[in-house]
Parts: sequence; structure tokens; C-alpha cells
Amino acid sequence: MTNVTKTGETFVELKGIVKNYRLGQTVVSALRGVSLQLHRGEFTAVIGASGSGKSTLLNMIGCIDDPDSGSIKFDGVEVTQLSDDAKSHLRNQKIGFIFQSFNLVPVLSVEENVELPLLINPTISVSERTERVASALADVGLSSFMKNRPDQLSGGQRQRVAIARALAGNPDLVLADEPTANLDSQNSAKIIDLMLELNSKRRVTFLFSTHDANLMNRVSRIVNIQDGVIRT
Amino acid sequence: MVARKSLFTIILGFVAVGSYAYGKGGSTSGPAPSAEELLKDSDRARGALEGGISWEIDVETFEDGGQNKVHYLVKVKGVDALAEAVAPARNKGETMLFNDRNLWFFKPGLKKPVAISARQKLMGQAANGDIASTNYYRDYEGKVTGEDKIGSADCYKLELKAKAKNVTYDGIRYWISKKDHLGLKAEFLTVSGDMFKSAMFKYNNNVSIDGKPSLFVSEMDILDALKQGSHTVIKYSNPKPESHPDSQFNINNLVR
Amino acid sequence: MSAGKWKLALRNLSRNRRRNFATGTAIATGFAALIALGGFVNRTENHLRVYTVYLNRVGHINIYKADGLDKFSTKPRLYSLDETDVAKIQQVISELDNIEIHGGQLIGAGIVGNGCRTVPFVAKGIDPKVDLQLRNHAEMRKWVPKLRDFSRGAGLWNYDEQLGGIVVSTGLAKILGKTVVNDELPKDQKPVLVVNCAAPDAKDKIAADTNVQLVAGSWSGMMAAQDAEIVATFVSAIPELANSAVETSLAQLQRLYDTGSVTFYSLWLKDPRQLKQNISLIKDRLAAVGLKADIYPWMDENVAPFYSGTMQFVYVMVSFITFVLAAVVVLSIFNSATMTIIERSQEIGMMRSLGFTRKQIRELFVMEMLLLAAFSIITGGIVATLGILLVNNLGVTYNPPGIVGGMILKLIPNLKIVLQSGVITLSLAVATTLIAVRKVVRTNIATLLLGSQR
Repeated sequence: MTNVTKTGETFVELKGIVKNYRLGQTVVSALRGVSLQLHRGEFTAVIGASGSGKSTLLNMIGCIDDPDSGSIKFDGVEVTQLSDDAKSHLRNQKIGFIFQSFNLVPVLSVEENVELPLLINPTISVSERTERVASALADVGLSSFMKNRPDQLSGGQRQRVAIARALAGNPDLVLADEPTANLDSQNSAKIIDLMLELNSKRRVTFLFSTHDANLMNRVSRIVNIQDGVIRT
Repeated sequence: MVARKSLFTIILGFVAVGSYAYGKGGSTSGPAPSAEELLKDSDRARGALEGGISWEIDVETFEDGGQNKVHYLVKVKGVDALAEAVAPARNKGETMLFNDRNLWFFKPGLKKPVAISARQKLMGQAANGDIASTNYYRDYEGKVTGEDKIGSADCYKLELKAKAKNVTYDGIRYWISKKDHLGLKAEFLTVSGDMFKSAMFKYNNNVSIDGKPSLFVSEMDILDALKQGSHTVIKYSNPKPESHPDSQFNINNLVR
Repeated sequence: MSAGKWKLALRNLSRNRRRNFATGTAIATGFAALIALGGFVNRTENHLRVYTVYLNRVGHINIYKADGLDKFSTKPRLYSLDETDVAKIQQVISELDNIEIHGGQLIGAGIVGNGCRTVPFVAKGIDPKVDLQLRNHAEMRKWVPKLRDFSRGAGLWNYDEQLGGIVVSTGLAKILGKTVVNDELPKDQKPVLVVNCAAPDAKDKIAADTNVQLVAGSWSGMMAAQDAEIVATFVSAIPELANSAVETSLAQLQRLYDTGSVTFYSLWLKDPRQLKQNISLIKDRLAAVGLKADIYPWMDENVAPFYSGTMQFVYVMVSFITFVLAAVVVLSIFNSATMTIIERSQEIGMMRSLGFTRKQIRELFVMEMLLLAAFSIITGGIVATLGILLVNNLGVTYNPPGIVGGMILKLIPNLKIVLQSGVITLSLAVATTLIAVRKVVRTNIATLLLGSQR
């Protein structure tokens, strides 16, 4: 499957997103009227202090949490109106996820982990699945570790597997929540390099949250969020 | 269990009840007799004779719309009694033999006689077999509980309770006429005191004993309290004193 | 896709082997116990059914005169089926092709004497040819092979009607002092008359022949008696009749009661599964020929109180045990599934992020449980087979209520029972898993990803 992408085109648009959480008797405002546009091919970092709303913003864009109010359009489709199944479908087809703690399935091999999102995509044949898994693993430099289990890999290698898993579905957007938080600086740099390389090579849009200042000068766009509000 | 009234048991009733009725004329005045006296008198009036007696009966049974009639010859001597069917032909030769409380049934062609215990006389329909026990004085504890009228006859009303386990009934209510000391009515009771059968007696026969005429039972009408419409009438005829050899009442002689 | 999911489910099973082993053991034990219980019920039900229908001769269909079941005992002449009624029944059933065996039966009571003493009896009369067919029925050979044999002697069909043969319960034979049956007597043996019942040799004299007298009040109100020869003895499975049961030919009992009627007319079907259809058909046709009749199927408590009462007891007992077993299995699965879900909530969140729908997550857990249950069921099946073989070879006798002499404990499950037990076990596994996973699939994905949904 080929993505028809047009660099610079706006394909994700958030308007006035509000999200509150209730913690006991207290209501915490995680996002307070956030509006944001994402353009194809961007390599964007969301920065901000802990609790500033970075993760919540990514969750909204990734359709894994619902805003209290506001609008989120993905390729022109209002996702807040979609059913749970439709959102699942959207995530599977268009969004890749990379997590801070890798979230690999320990009982599956590297290639099986990468294959996981493809298992539920009925449009992909078995042979195409194999090809995509091989290609994604080649892109992250882990072709020789296909049969290994996650516990046989280093932290950096595990995150590469997670990146390969995020890319295997040929998504329009990869969301990475603190992808380097659990890595040392050397591995962190390698991961960012890899993501940049893939952004350039696959023309995939990356949006990741971080508070690593070293990364700031390497991204094409920075979204600064403070107390649930975007500061420009 | 199929419960049937049988002529057999009715005949036993006859053997017990059909008996000489000794005239007790003129005894209505004076102090009331005791229950023992009444029972002794009525027992004597029920055939406890040394010399022997015989008579004939027709037993007619009405049940379920059906009807049956059998004619018997009856011989009594003391505590022994023998009843033999003489008609109709199909029943001819059927014999019931009483040796005191023991009862035997036999019919021609049967290889052995059948011993029937007191309690088994109640088998099937609530039979009146134990009426054949001719000695209420011996078998039951009696008590005069009051006076009553049966038809126009003044009677003593007695309650009888079994003295022994091998008698047929647990209890009997018995009406004995004041004038003649004749049993005019009996009600037979279950162990719980419920009546399951009753009998009425008439004494229109006469028999001469030692030259003296005495009243003799002429009819016994038995009603089944448990089965509506089921009743039996026994008609007595030709009572006469007659001596019988003891061998007639021996079961072994009967079979051979 | 499906193969991949099954693979994932299988891999997931390898995560917590000890817990899965415990759950699997509970499922296997539950399944094995269900098979064993099913085998017990199957054996007991078939034993009692065949005993009732073929040995005790409660036909699949029993036709009584209207109200005959209740009133025959007090008014037999009015509430029995006479020759005309029987002819009508025979005409009706001659048009049906599902009737395998049929015949009239007469029930009666009386006393039976040995020359010295008499005791009560309850007699059943049936055509000896019908009796022979029933005793030799394949169902009898299969389910009650021992009960179909007489304790001593041979069936009535082997003897001339003139002999007046009867079969009595062993208890009655003992009470009557009869230690031999007709075939065991010397050929020239004549009835021995006991002249003095109190004599020391009376007992031996009574035991020297098989002659007894049946005495009863005939339907025409007469005292009736007949000679009879004991040709066989049998163990009555009904305690109430252990000391009083008599079986005679229908003709002999009819002679005793001086009747040509029968208490009821029984039909045995080739295919008992058509019972309801046959009853309704016969009912209509009997009405059409003007016979007012009551029809009872064999399992009706009015005609087979023994079967119906015992099976009710068995079902209540087995239902209770099944309930306890199911509760143990369900709790075990629920506990295991809940623990697994708690441990894997973050992973579930990750999978939801990757696009797994709620249904697919549910499926994944159900697949895991199905695999575990399937494996456990195979194991349980093997354990049950071995256990049943062991129990059946031990030959333990037990005493279900109402069965004289008890039954040999045998567990005879059939394919239906195994399949039913399997379906019950799998259904419990699936249902419990769905309940356990119900909450987690409804939980917000972001919350799941935090790994603290419970």
C-alpha cells in the first residue's frame, strides 16, 4: 500500500481541545483549548514540563482518549464522532505508536512483535505482511534479530523494534511519547537519528513528546505546551 | 391391591351370628345386666352348643352392578364350624372349616387346603370374617356404654375391644336387645376407630332346642362403609339341631 | 489473521505456566467429574428405564380404562379393559408400524398358602410369550443382563399352562418355606400334604414340593383358589414387593379372578423416541373407535413411581454436584483470567493503540482460554477414561434408594455425555473469561497504557 502524501499539507487539525481529569475531588485541566495543525512530513517535538499536557495532547491526536470538547480532524474526518471500532481502524491504518517503555510482547519474537498490527489488517496478505516486517526491521537495522525475543535485546534495540512495529503499517503519522526517556543519551541520539532518517526516507510525519533539550535543535518544529496551553 | 368382598367371609359371618337365640323373656325388668352377662348370653345365642346344629344359607352379594348368589350348608359343633357350598355348580364343594379361631379354605381339585389367619379374613374387601369368632365374651373386653333403639327394640349399646392380637377386629360396636339379649346390630371398627362395615340382624326363624322353641337369626344385611353400593344379604333357613361327628371338622379328612 | 491470533493466544499461555497449570487442572478435573457423573446418571437412568419398561413391564405406552388407574383397585369390574376393549386396542395398534411388542396385563392381590400358612401376594399376569420377548430384548441384555436372569428356575414360557406355574420373589419363596423350583424336583414328585403343621418334619415337607395355593376374592364376589407351582424365583428390585411379588400367566390370573379382562394394555415401541406422536395418535384413534381410555407413558410417576422417584433424587443430587463443580471451575477460571488481565493491562492498552478493537481483545482472551480448556479437556478425558475403567473394574456395590440388593457401581458415559460435558466446560470457560475481560475492554486506552486500570 502506498500513501499518497503531499508534503506540507495539513492532515491533522485540532481545534479548542479541552480535557479535564478528575482526581478524587479535584478536577485537573490537562488541555485548555488547544488548537494545532500537523502537516505531512513534519518532524515535530512537543515539549513541556511534566504534567504540562504533552501526553494528553498525543493521546488526543492518537485517538486513544476523547476530549471533553473541541474538534479533531484526521484527513478531514471528525474523529471525535467516530465509534470505538472506527477509531481502532483509524489507528491501525494511519497511526503508529512508540511508547516510552517500548511495550513489546515478551512472548513474541522480534518479527512477531512487528507483525502484530498487521495481523488485524484484513487488507494485507500474508506475503505482504512478511515483506513489510522484513522491510521495517531492515530500516531499523535489526534484520539479524528477527527471531530473538525482546528480553534478548538491549533497551535501544527494543525501542528500534517498537519503531519498526509503528512503521510496519505504513502510517501517515507516528506518535512517540517520550521515546528516549528510558534510554541513555547515546541510545537516545541514535533513536532520534533513526526517526529523522525514517522521516526523510519514508516521508512519515513524526510527532513526539520529549523534555530532552538536546533534541530541540534537530526537529523541524517545536510545539511548546505549558499548563495545557500551547505557547508559540 | 384388588379388594373383593367374598361370599366366603360372609359365610363366616353367618357361622358366627346365625345361632340359637335363647329366649330371655321377662328379663327386661330388674337390675341391668353386666356387659359380660350380655356377651355370654349373646355368645350362647350364637351357637356355642355342645350338641351341634345345622342350617342353610343363601348369600347374595351386590357389587358394581353385579350380583351373585350361593347356597351353603352349615354345620356347627362347639367352636368348630363347617360351611359347604352346594349351589351353583361352579362353587359346589367349596368348603370353609373353622377350628376355633383357625380357618381353612378348600375346594375340590385343590391339592392342599389353605390356612387363613384371623387377620387375613379381613383381606380384600373389609370382610366380616371374624364375625365367625363365636365367642365375643372370650375375645373382646366389653363395656355397656349406653342404651339405644334399633328400630322399635330397646337395646344396650356395647363397645368391644380386642383382648388378643389374633382376633379379626380391633373393635366392635354392638347393640344387644334388652328383651331377648340378641345382637341386632354390629359395627366393625378399624384400629383407628373408624367403621368400615356394619351389619343388621333379623330373628324370624325358630328352632326347637330340648323341646323349647327359640328365635333364630333369619337375615343378616351387611353394608360396606368404604364401598358405596356394596352390600350382602344372607338369608337363613332350616335351622335344626343335629349331632355331627368330630371327624367332619378335621381338615385332613376334608382334603382326602 | 486468525492463525496469527491463535499463535499469539498459544504464546500467551506460556507466560504464567503455574497459574495456567492450576486453572487447567481445575478445568480437567471438572470435565472428568462431569463425564463420570454423566456416566453415573446414564448408567442409573438406563438401568432403571430398562428395569421399568422391560423387566417390570411398564410398557412405553400403557392404556387404562378411563379412571382405571385410580379406581381399578376398588372396582375392578368397572375399571378394567374387557375383551371388547382389548379388541379395539388391538385393532387400533394393528395400523401402527412402531409397535414392537404388546399385551394386556392383569394386576391382582390375594393370599398364597403352603398348606400351613398363608401370606399376602401381589400378582402380575402377562402372556408368557410377551414376557419372553421382553426378557430377551436387546435393551435388557445391554443394561440389566443380570436382573433378567431368574435367581432359580426358568420363565413361565417354558411350561404348559396346565401346570399353573408362577414366579415368585425370593423373599416370598423364603417366607413360604420353598427352597426348590419345579425343574429341581424329581420327575415323579407329588404334592406333599402336611398333616400336622406343628410337627418337627413339617418344614421339610413344605420344602419338598413347589406347590402353593393362590387365594383371592374373585371379581364375581366369590372366594377363589388355585393350585400353583413355583417354577422360578427372582429378586424384586422394589422393596415393597420383595416379600410378596408373584408373576403368573395372564390366563392363570384371569382364571383366579374369574374374569377375561385386563387391568391395562401395554405397548412397547420399536423407536421410543416417537412416544409422544404415538400416544397422541393412539388417543385419537381409540376415541374414534369409542373407547374411553387413559394413556400413560412409561415415565409417568403414576405408572412408574419407582423410576420417577429415583431419577428425581439422582438428578437433584447430580445437579447439586454439577453446580459445585461448575462453581469451582468458574471461580478458578475467573481468578486466573482476572490476574492475567491485571498483569497485562498495559499490553492490552498497547494492542488497543495498535488498532485492536474491543471485540478482538475479547477474542484474544477467549482464544487463550479455549486453548487452555481444550488441552485440559483432552487431559480430563484421559483421566476420566482411566478413572472410569478403574471404578468399573472394582465392582463396588452401592445402594441407590429403593433398589433391593443395590447396584454394581458402573459409570457408562456415552458420546453425547462427553460432548455435552465438553460443551458445558467450554461454555463455562468462555462465559467466565468474557465476564472477567468485560471491564478491561471498556477501560480508556490511555488509562490502560498507564498500567493501572485496576
